[in-house]
Amino acid sequence: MAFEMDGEFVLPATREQVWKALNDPDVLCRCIQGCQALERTGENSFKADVKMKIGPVSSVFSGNVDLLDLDPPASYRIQGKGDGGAAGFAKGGAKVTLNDTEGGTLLRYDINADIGGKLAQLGGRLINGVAKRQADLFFESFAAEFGPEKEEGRKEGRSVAQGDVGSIASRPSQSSVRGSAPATPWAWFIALAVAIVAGFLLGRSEADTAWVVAMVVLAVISAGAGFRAGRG
Amino acid sequence: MKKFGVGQSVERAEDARLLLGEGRYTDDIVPANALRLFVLRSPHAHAKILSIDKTASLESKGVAGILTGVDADEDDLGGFPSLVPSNAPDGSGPNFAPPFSVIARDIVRYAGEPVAIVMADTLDQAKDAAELIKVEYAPLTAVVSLADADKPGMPSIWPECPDNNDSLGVFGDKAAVEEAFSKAASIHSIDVRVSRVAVSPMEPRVATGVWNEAEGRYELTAGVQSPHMTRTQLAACIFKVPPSKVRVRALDVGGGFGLKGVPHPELALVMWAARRLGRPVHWFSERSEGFLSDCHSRDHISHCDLALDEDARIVGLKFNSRANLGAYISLAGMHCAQGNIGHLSGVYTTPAIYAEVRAYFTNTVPIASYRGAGRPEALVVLERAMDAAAFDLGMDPAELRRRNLIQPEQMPYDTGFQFTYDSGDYPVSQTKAQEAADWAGFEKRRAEALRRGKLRGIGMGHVVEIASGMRDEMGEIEIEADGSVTFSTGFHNHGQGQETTMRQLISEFLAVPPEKIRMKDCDTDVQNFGLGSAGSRAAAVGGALIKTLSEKVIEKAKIIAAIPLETDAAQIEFVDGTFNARGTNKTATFAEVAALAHNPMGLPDGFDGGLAHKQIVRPGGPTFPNGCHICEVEIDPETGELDAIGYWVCEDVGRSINPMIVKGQIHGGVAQGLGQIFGEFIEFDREGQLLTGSFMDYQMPRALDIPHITTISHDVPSPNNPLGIKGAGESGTVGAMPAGLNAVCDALKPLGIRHFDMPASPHRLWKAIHDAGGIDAICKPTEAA
Repeated sequence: MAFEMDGEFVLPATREQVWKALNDPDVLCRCIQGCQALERTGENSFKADVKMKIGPVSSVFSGNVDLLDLDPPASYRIQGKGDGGAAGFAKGGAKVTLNDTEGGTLLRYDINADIGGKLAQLGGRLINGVAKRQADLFFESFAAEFGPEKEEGRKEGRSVAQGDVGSIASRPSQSSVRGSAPATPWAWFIALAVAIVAGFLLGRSEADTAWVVAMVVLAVISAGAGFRAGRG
Repeated sequence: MKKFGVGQSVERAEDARLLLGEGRYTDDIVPANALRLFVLRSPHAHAKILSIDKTASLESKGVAGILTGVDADEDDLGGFPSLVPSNAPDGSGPNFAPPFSVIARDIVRYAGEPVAIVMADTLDQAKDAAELIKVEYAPLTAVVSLADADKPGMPSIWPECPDNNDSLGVFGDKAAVEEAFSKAASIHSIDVRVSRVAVSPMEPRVATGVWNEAEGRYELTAGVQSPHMTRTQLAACIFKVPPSKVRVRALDVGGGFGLKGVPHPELALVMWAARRLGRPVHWFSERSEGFLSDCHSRDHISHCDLALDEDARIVGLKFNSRANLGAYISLAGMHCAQGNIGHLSGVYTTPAIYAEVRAYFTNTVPIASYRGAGRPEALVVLERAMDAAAFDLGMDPAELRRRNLIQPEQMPYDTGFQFTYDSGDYPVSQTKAQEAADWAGFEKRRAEALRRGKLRGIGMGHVVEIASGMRDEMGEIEIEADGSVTFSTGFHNHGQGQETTMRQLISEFLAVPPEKIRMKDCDTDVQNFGLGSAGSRAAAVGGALIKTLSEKVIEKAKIIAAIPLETDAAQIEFVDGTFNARGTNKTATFAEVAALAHNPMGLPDGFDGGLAHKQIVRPGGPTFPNGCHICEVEIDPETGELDAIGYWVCEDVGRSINPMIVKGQIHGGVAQGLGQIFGEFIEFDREGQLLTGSFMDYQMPRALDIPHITTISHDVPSPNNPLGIKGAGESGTVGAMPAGLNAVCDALKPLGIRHFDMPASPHRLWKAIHDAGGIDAICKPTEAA
């Protein structure tokens, strides 16, 4: 099922600051709850396994992402796919551009994705609303990155510098001008997909109420993901 | 007329049981130790399977086993066959017919195709484990749209069929049609899309498989329409064992509609898993799973040219159709594509018909039968062409039809195309339907509706359809020692009321009250042959069957009755359930004779004991139920909302066993036909993902969407079976589709719209009305009338 979404945000920072924040790998695992493994599979390719457990439902979502057309600090493309097994899959990408604007930087994103399997069959009429809200929350929080509470948030941020994850995540992001490890940009993309998968998995009982529960859970996840991103 | 016999509206005996939740469905009697099977289905419409990793899944709690295509290859598991052969598009030989695979091997060809099956103690455990299976796919471009299947650049779903065009069926006399067209006064063409629908029976598909180790035999209990045909296919094509090594039985079935006459993968999977794991295995489809994996139906794109003479009489008809097969050819896939093309004759005298049907593979779940199975696909196009011709000529569509109707004195009528109609009085049916619907007064109603800002339309559809085409059936009547009757046959009740109608037939011929008649389950261990309930055949064939069995049983009973009556069997007559010796006042009841028959000491020489008869019967020929359907609708141009105002049908089902049940069959059939016209529609995205996969997105008709249905009878008995029965199972659906669609198109006619494709959902209607200029194009809003 084709899925398109776009949006823009004004961030209270310069383009360079925004680019740097977008490429800070620490934010990644803070954004994605249940991040189990994060490995680099190529110069600009990454793989992540994210476990979601909500009530009795547990699903591991594997995502692969490539970063393309890097043009710092102006634009890049994210190309990726996520596999939720029995729940379905999502594949597609996003184009992100940064432009100077009054009061900071205008970040614009255009997402084009295809959703398949149970997600497409049952999620058709909900997916746009859910994804839009998820993205809005992410960028609202991301904008807060540049606000006054940033420092405190950082201190409280969960550290991921351990094991395999840390070896990548702790790589200095400043060196990633040519795209060596800009993991952050796709964090929200994965989080989005995970949230959607989790929501629809929960809805598999097909009872009417399950949809309501799923929507509530999605809202919680969305808020949670946004909050974590904000604290990064 | 007997109290419970033929012609009585006896209440349905099965309703108390079914409506109080006391039915015995397959899911109600699952063996206590059965494993639950969950099917992991492909999320891709077309992809290579690179690897399947079930390691983590096998360790999941409660899992007893996981099977994939690799295991199926190991056990040499086959696929289901295509019932109807066709020709390759180039005429080089038979069409390519890939077996309908029960589990994917190296390539998945539709979203929803089984990739792995997980068996666990509970369904939730099986689902949890399925989530841990890692399947690596390499997606391939999917062929989704029927219209695009053979366009250049489209991938081939099967290498044997490069342009995805599997077959070409050619029917009729092309030269005669060309000749007729060359002399025609006018030619009227139309393109009609017969949309794809989901059958959606109330009871989803269900199956329980048992491996009988002691006998080395597979056993299946499932919601199927034809246990015997299913057994044949499972034995011969899937497991490659003799049919005697497979037992299939069906208990209560919650709606078949053709879907459950077509074997599906899960039937084989539960049996296979049961053998592999040594425990019973049970599967029950969820509704969303059904949308994805139940064979869909219809899905044709057709073109029709109708040639008329100066008097608007049909001189020739050309038909050209593309039919979707899905990714495999199901048992009935080719049958639905071209098996009922004979219906292009309709109720009209059409001297020359020529038809070409091309069937295509697409990356979608296979197409199979659904109430009508090819009949509405042909008839809705013919009946739309009639209305289009009337539109072009500025004629009343009813008058155009009347001029072309086959007359009752022409019966039996050889259409010159495929069918010979047995009987019927089409002009009277049309007259009665028109009177009931006040056809003559419609334009007033249209004008009145327009003053209210509504578009009102009326549509007619004539149906004539082949029934009881499959004529053979086996049955057995056993008279128990207490005089009660036990009946078994390959027919099976899946909601139509056959328990009642079969009892009525037995009551008619044996004069036994219904409470003393018992129906056995349909079980291949009880009857060794049967074709099952399909094609509106059970009443006509069952009537002939029960009449024959009853006569044979009475014949045997007379030999026994001769002992107490102290006379010769030839001197005994059977009247109202009693055996009388002619010219005496000696009588014997059925119960007395039955008791004697079970007493070996007192039987005549050469008599085996017991009182029963079992045989296969074949009535004389197929029957052609028919009728004239009229539908009236009103559309709100501002919202596109359609309101079905009324529905009238004058039907001819031949002699009715139970008029109430016949009406119920017509009502249900009409609702299913109108459902497809008003909103039901299966849609995929460009990658073959199912978008209308739940009742949130698939517009199933509700009670409020269906108008009151007035049913009038003008039954002409069929000469092709001893009771004159024609059958009533499908004609409601077949007639409702053209009547409903013609009504919608008629409502749009004032906007200059000549044709509108189903479904008439609010959005599609609104768009068509809006694109045609809206209601303001035909009237300025005026003060309310």
